[in-house]
Amino acid sequence: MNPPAISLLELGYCLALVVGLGVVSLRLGLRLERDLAWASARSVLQLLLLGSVLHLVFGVERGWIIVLVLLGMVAFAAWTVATRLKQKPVGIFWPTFISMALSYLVLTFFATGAVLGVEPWYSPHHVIPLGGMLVGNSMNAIAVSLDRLFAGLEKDRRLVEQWLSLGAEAREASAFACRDAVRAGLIPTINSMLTVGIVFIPGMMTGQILSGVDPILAVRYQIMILLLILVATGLGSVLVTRWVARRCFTAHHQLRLPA
Amino acid sequence: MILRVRDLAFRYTASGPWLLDGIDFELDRGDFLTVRGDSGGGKSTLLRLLNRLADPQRGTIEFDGRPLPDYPATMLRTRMVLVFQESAFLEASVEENLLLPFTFRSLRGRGRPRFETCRPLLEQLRLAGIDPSETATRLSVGQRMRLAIARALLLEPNVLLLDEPLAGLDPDSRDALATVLTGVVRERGLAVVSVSHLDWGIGTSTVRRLQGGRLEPPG
Repeated sequence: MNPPAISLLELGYCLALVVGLGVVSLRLGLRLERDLAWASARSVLQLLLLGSVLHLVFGVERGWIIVLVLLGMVAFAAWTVATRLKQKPVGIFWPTFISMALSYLVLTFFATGAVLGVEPWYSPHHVIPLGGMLVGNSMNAIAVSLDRLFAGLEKDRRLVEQWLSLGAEAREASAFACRDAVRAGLIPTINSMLTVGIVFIPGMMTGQILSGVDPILAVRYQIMILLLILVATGLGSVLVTRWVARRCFTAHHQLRLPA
Repeated sequence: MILRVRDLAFRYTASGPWLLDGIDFELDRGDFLTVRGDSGGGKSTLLRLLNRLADPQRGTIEFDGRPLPDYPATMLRTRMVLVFQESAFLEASVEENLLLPFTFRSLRGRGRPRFETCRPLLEQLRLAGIDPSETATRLSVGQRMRLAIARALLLEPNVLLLDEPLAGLDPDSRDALATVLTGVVRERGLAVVSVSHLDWGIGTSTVRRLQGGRLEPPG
């Protein structure tokens, strides 16, 4: 079954609905009109741009260019995380970028190589959307983890310093804060896995089914994606949390956070 | 000389006022120095510098003849151990809290002592009847302080740093702790630096007042 085409005019119908929501916001004094307009405009432009970029990238036949594109996506995600956090006692861009890049590249190529078995290994049709799903979905988790880590070290600084004073290394003294941080980052992903298929149908699967893919196959793809997102989120959170936690201490195991 | 402090100075920010400015003192084994001063006057900071939880901007601290940076920080802290004003115990048993440091990598080589072997020390600190399975956070203020001191002494340090050991204790408990500490310190030949905002000293301690970032002469 061929999916029905959507013209730009037809997309405009959806935008008209958003305008309707704007009117509601205006009438109820929600003060959301500007946010609605800005978010809609940005998402439409970003996705249209993505479509054109994908069109170009899908024609690429060199693996290193695809890896570079993936790294670019990761860099943007790491930058987003770094700017989103208000409280940042230490630099987090590089630990975030490197941890994300490591876990996502490994998992993306694991999926395309071992699970899907696509040829060539860098097949942009598979690598880019998969990488994008992993980056986008676990970015929030990493931001939550880091936010929780800094808050935890701040809140428990007395405990952390007392452990240090009893001979603990930085890694040992921050173990509690790291554990809470990783858990806080992972729990939304775990919760969404508990309700998937019952309370909501995931976006990727919906898109596939709408465009004519057999639901059984769409479900299998969705399962693969869900599991990969879980692992990417867990791996990324663990790596980045431990790395950033270590940065909150000096080489002599002194807590760096301002008193 | 177990501890020698020369011209120690510390401030929190590069342009801020000096909290400590030119601290000098020396301690031998068995010496007991009590530093008195007002809250916020830098007493706790002095202990943090001795424990190397922070580094001074100026001056030197020598432990056993060598400057602090010569020692790995984790090892130094178990030889010159700091007991905080309010010890943060885990929501766990007395035993777990008491033996916690032996789970750290820097102390794993020493082997984790059995709780029963700690009994004599606990008796000396008047914690003889304590139930090892009791939750540590439910103990009284005085018991918690003595448990924290016991935990510190189990590390067999050369120097004991006490931050407001008497805070929250009634006069009777203060006197009891003073007697206990005097005995333990004498028996083990420990050097002790104790800071307190209370007008109080332990046994034959030297008392010096911290005023305006400097230690006034003994008296």
